[in-house]
Amino acid sequence: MSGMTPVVRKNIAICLFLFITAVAGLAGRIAWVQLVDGKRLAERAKTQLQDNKVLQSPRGTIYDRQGRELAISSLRKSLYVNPRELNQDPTMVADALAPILEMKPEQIRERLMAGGSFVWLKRTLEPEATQKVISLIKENNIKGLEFIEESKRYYPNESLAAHVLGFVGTDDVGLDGIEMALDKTIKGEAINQAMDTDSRGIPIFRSSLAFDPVKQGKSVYMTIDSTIQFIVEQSLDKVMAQTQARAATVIIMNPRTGEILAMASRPTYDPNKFYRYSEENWKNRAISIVYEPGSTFKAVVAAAALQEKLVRADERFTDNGFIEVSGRRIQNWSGDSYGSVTFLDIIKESINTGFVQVGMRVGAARLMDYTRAFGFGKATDIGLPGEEAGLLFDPKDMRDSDLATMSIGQSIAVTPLQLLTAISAIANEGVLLKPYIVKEIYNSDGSLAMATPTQRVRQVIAPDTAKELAGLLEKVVSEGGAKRAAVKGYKFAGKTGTAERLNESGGGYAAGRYIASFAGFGPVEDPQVAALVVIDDPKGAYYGGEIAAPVFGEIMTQVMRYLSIRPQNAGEMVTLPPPKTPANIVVAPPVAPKGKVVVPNVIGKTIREAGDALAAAGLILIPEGSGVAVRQSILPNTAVNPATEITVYFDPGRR
Amino acid sequence: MLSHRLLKNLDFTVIAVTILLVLISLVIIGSATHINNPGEDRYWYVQRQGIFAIANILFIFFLLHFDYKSLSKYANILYGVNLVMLVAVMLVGQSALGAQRWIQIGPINLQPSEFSKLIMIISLAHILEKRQGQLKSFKDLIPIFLFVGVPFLLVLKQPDLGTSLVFLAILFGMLFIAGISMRHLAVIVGAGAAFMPIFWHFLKDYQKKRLTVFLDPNVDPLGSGYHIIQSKIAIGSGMIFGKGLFAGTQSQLNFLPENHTDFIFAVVGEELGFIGSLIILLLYLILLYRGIKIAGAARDSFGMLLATGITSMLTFHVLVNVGMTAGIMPVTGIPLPLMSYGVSSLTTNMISIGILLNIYMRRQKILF
Repeated sequence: MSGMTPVVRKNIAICLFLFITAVAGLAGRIAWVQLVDGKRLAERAKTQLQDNKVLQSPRGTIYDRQGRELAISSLRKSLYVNPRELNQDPTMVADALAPILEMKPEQIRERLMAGGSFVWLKRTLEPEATQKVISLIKENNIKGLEFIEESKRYYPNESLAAHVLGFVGTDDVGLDGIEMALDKTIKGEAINQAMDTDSRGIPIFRSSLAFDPVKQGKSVYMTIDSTIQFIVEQSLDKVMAQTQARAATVIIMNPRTGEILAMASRPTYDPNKFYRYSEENWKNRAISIVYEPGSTFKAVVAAAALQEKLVRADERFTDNGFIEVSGRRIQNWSGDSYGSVTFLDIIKESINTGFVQVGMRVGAARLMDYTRAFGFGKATDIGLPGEEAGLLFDPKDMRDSDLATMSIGQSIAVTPLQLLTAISAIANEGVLLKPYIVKEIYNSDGSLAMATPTQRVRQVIAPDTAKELAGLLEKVVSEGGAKRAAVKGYKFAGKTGTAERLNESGGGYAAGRYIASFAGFGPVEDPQVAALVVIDDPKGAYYGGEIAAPVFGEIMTQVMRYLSIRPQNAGEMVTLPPPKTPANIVVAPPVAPKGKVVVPNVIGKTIREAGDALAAAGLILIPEGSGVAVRQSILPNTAVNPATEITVYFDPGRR
Repeated sequence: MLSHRLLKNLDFTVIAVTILLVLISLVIIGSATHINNPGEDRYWYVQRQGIFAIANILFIFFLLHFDYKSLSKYANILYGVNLVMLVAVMLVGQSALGAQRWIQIGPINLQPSEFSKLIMIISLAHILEKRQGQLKSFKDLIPIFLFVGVPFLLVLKQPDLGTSLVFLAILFGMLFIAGISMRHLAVIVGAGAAFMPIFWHFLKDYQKKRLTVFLDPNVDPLGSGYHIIQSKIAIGSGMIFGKGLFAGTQSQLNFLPENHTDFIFAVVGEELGFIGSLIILLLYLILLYRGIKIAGAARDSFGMLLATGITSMLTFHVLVNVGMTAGIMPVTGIPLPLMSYGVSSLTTNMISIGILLNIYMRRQKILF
């Protein structure tokens, strides 16, 4: 044993001790990592394992009251890159993708080189672009570019009812309008799929990326009638062109139910490309602007005075052309004096001095009570975002001059919707209804989830008073200052308004800038529709009777025809051109987009004819009823997918 | 043929532990290389490692016929061969992960630096044996340092920092057992520490990063810290009983890089838990304990030094490798002996253990 000196023996003992200490230390470290830190690290293993990919099932469809599609969702492929898997030169890939994605190469390159395993390149690509990307991937054998199906919102009628519908941003979030108000309801189910992925972020079960399109969100039926909406939009475009106004709004309401049949504003936008427009265009002016209603408010003043029996229609007043109230001089619009006039004349000619006298009789407190009872000063809660409440005086703070100006519709601020709701109460035998815009909501399985009932707010004035006032307002149209609002064949009631525009900077009026409006309803015997036209800051003529009343008349003429409302005074009935429905106004797309077909017009056809016409276009007829086609679920000239089912409603009575 | 008496003298503990570790390694390599997933080449790694393990067992058995003492005769030749191999790898070697470490001979990729560890031990044992009792002054140590220094620098140049550090571990272990005075050892360590900044200066950036990142892997979680973070997550998430064989998500889903080679211990930790890790560590402790015992039982100084060198090498590997997977040692690319996939490493380690067996078997003077 030559090697085994005592020193060596000692050294070996030291080595043994060191080994045991070192291995024990190592075991201690492992114990720490696994037993103490284990839970936390296990959690981390799990999180990096699971890539939370939110799979969005398609957003629910929005229909108009007739079941015509206003907003639809379709599945589009969204392109993302898994930078860890990318096997080609990012600059090359970026340059190739740039023209297809319509993005800057640098921007794409940056994303291709980002960290992690998931970076969006572009969301919801058009099918053509998707095809191009797919072939690019195949040709160059690129790895790391992947698609996920996402729901993309389409508004087939473009700007039709844009302000009501609103729009949807990325990740299927409703950003305005009903899309925002009902976001939670119609949003497709977000399947928060915690997918197990490997280190490169590739899902272990690729099939989990497949969509389950059955789980579409709830669908919404609006009270909007897209034909009436279309009529309104057309008229608005026309009046905007004629008057060069800054803005305009039209609302049409069913005064018997509170349903909003149309609601449109200018400036407008295309919700398909909402991002290209300014926020000013997105504004739903029907509910989110406040303005001085001017003479249209006189209807409310008259209602209060008549209800309180403070005035009779044939009561005589003296008009000197002006009236002074606590030092403030109020003139007639025309500046003329009418001399001795009846209350009917005062309404017909919208005589300011007369209304000041009537308003003084009612008094501040009572007038304010009526104003509130008609729904002013409080949002209607129609269920759209951005609704204003308006602004009213506290009656205690009102001086006589304030009462006087309020009597002619000044020094109060209202929204267009509030005014129309109040006018509708007059049309509806004095009962104020809550306006609403969502008619029904259906579950994805087709069962009814919610139906909005007509909600009575209160009886504001007695039915007799309402009828009497309606009769007086009818004279405004038939004999007074709003003759141009007349609808041939029907008796309509209404009131014009011309108000000075409030200074935007606050305080006082903007000289030479006006808001022209007309509020009315009809037919007076049994009012079916009430409408308000507001034209903001028109160039040239600015009297409500001159520019707003004709818009009302034009719209109502078409609406009466469309609703097939029997003319009351048949003697005056003239042959009207057929209503300008989208069916014959929209210029038919000359060629359907690739893979789409154009829906033919089958209105007026028999079931057999309609079936033939639809079959010729490659569509499927779902007949409802029998007789002659009166309505079809998808408007003519709409481009749809082949084999789409078109429901056509037949009516035996209209042969 | 080996005599019955010699066979009786075999260290059956070492044999049992070695075979156990190799068998466990085959299972773990299988898991790390997705043997349970369908795929044509799924058995490739396990088959290859297994074939080499069997071949090595046969080779060891063959070598047992020769007295380890005869290695002494070849020590200088081996040293020369080693230098040639290391130079060759610099000239014709293939690179992997930024380092030239491989030479291809037929179907086999050889990693000369693995073998050079064992050659280092043999040649160092040879010259230390001759100088035993003469290591009194620093002057006596200088030739030894030069002797180790040349291959050390060649390996460092590859660059294979891990292996070069193994050389140092071997050197100090053997010097220590050879009876170098504690005072000298302290001075050498002190001098080494003083040279560290210069040494540091010559390191490549990626090496510097690797050496320091384990202190805070989160500074570069997707780069140099990635291995450490993923390895710690793997081991930690195994907790007491592990996720089960073939069920480690870190390893099966490729979060854990190099999981069949340098980070195989993390697979053990993840799939077999603390219990499994502890068993493996215990097996290594037994092996190292036996190694140092064999050094003590050797019949001559050469055998003692050889066994010491081998045990030092194995110890360093186990401590640094397991420490690395547990996040307390830098990532230097040192495999876990007998467990990590790699035929060069497996062969080196098995032959080393074969030499331990040889030394132990011939511990007594043969008396006829």
